[in-house]
Amino acid sequence: LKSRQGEPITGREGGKPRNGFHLTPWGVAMNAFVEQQNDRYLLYLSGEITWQQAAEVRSAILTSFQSEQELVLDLSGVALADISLLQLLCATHRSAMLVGRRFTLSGLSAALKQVAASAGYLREMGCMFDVCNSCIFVNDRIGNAQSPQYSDMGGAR
Amino acid sequence: MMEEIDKHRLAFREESAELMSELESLLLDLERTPHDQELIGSIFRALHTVKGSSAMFGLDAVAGFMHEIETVFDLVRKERLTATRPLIDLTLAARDKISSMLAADEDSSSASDTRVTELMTKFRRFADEARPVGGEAEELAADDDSHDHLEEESPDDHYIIYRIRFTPPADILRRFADPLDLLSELQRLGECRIVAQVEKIPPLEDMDPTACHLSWDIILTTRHDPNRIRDVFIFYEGECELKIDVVDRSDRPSSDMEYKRIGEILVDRGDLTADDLLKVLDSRKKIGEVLIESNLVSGDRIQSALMEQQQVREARQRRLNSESNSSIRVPSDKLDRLVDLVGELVTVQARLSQSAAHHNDSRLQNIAEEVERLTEELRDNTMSIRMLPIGSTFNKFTRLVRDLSQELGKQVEISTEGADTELDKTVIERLNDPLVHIIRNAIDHGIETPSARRLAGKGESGTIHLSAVHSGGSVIIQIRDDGAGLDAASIRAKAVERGLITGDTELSEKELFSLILTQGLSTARNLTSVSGRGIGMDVVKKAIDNLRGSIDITSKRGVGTTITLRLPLTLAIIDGLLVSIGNQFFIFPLAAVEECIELTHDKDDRFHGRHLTAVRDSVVPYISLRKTFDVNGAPPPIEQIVIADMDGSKIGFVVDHVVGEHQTVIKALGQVYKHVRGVSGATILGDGTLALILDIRKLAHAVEQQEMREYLH
Repeated sequence: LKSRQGEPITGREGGKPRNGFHLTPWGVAMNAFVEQQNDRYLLYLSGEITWQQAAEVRSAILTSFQSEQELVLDLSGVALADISLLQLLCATHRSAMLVGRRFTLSGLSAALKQVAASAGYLREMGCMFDVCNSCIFVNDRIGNAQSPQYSDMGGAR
Repeated sequence: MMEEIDKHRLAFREESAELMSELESLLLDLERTPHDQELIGSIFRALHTVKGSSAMFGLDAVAGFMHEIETVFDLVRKERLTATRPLIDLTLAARDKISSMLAADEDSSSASDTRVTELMTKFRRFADEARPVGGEAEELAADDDSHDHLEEESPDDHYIIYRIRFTPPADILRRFADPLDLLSELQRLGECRIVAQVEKIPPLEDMDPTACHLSWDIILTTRHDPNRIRDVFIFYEGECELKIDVVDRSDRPSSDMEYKRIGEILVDRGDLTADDLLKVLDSRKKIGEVLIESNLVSGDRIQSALMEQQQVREARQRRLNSESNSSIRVPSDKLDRLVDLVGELVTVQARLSQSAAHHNDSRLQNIAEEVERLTEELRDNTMSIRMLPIGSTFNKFTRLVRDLSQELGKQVEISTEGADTELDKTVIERLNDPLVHIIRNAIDHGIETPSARRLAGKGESGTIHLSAVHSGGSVIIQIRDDGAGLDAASIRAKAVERGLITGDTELSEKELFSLILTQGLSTARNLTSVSGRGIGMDVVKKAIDNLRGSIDITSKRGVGTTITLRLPLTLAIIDGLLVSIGNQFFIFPLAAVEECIELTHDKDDRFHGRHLTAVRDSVVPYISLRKTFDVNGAPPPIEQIVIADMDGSKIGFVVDHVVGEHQTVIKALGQVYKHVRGVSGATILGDGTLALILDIRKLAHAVEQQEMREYLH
């Protein structure tokens, strides 16, 4: 999947896209957009994705869950992140597994991988909730930063 | 809520005062060994801790000031500055200033305090002189108070492996702080293996996106001690969960190469209960590859291994506990209240014993005896709680000696002995000022200048020796110097000049030296800021008297002077000898009593106005307390003489009856009675009667003076 310039996200209006850069109340720029194509809900995140953007990102993902479309998360543009994004990914994964929903992670930036490494997030195997064995932070799976990663997460097995 | 805040503030003040005092000792030690990295590290830590907590309590001026000092000591730590004498002098001065700022506990703007500005400027000058970095360029962030490169490992291979479990407060991100910064601080201390614990992350629908749901397990290999690790988390102390366990050390021989099994490690960490582990083994259900190994061992082997592990863990815990400080702070007034209660108990117990004896009930007597035994033990125990080693007082004087000798241009060393001799807390506190006076005198008058000492054939550096030892019911504290000694002739001349004695009064050397304890007598030729006004020693005498102690001075010209203080071990309860005169009761301090003999009237001779009696081969003067206290009625046909020892000379006191030993809880007499000479306090007897406690020394002195007057007229 390739990312395309689309329209920025909002979680609040039931998936209706909006324009331009999105400025959070703290004045930090996050560039993110949502594209809905056929049966996929693409959420592309880039720039600074820290705790100050976490609420927005969470809203967007929850919206995607409501839309019954398959979520595709593209994180190849994340330039700056902290543990909040890591937590969000885990929480999303957990939710998906609980209801048997599929979502896909396409693209994991080097910066995000670095944060995961610093936080001791990289593991030999998934945590106890990873019943589908699809945790992306497993060393074998997280792979090379350059090539986009296609990962089938969630879904009942 | 306000009470809570005050309690914390009080704790902060106490703790920072302690740290400041420790800092002083560390700096004095550093002066002697300027390159000791351990010392420098400890100093840095102390500065850092007080800085942090000052900031927390709003004392920004203090925090800012300490930051400057910390910066300079960081340079010392990195060996870009040496801890020279001027730097240590400056730091000691700064420490003094900060201690007073902390005691004042108000935030004053540092801009308005010229002293602070002056000191900070001097520190900055030191910082400017720092040697440039050799070799690689260093990143020096302007306000970064943490260092930027890996802390050096010591040349030897000593290491300790820690398991650290850290859970930050949930709102840490919202405070604009990043747990990853703390983790990277840890990595500066040594090799780290970090594992994030993610179990607490809820599903997305239930999750607070800005809260921290993570905790971390870190295995750190480092040479540093746990305190250094704690320092990393210092700003979240109390708000985060932090557990630091030593897992292995290079200096602990380990017999087996293999460390614990995974199952054991998990149980050890509390991640898995022993029960669950056994359940897993029984059911053979695989939960991840984590428990694979344990499957190969049977249940009861695991059980016994678990027990062994439990044992080791407990042993280690015990060792950790004993290594850490196992003491608790108790407010002084709680302790005083306890002592009071014990005193009351002693009194009531005396009544019980008396009553039991009276009733001639053997069962009751047995119980009374047991109560007496327990009460005695309780009394001893409580008294010992109030006992503190005098060592801390001695240590304070190291700084004093250093500063004074510098000021007066002399070289003085201080040595101590018996630092763990224990005294009652109150006695130690009240001893502080007198000792300061005595030491000041010793340095000012006693110890000669280095050149004078050389001429006298002595070493250039003089010594002041402090010693403390228990003796009987007292503590004997000596201050000995190897200085010039007292000039007996000079003292005599001065005393005559002041009219204290007449020109032809005969005085023993001891008595002559005791004259310097009188107010207004000083043989100093010049007034220095330290002494010469002649007000020092009499204040000392008064303080020691108030402690019911005594001072003795011996000296040898050209050799040195020794001042001996003799103090009672406790102020509150003493062993006494109960006597009666008529229907009144009195108590002698038992420690001073030598013996009791009968007085038969034909031995009642008068000689030079004094009653004398023969005791074995010596002659003992005595006084009649009946006469002194003007007791009504006639004395019994046979009276008793209580013979007391007063610094080697004996004196007798005639009483009607000697009742016996009596545990005496001292109650102070009110202000109204304080001037009554010869009586130092009172106590309540078992049946509620009052008994007066005699001050033998004052009594003897007063009676002597009285009789002298009578005789001369």
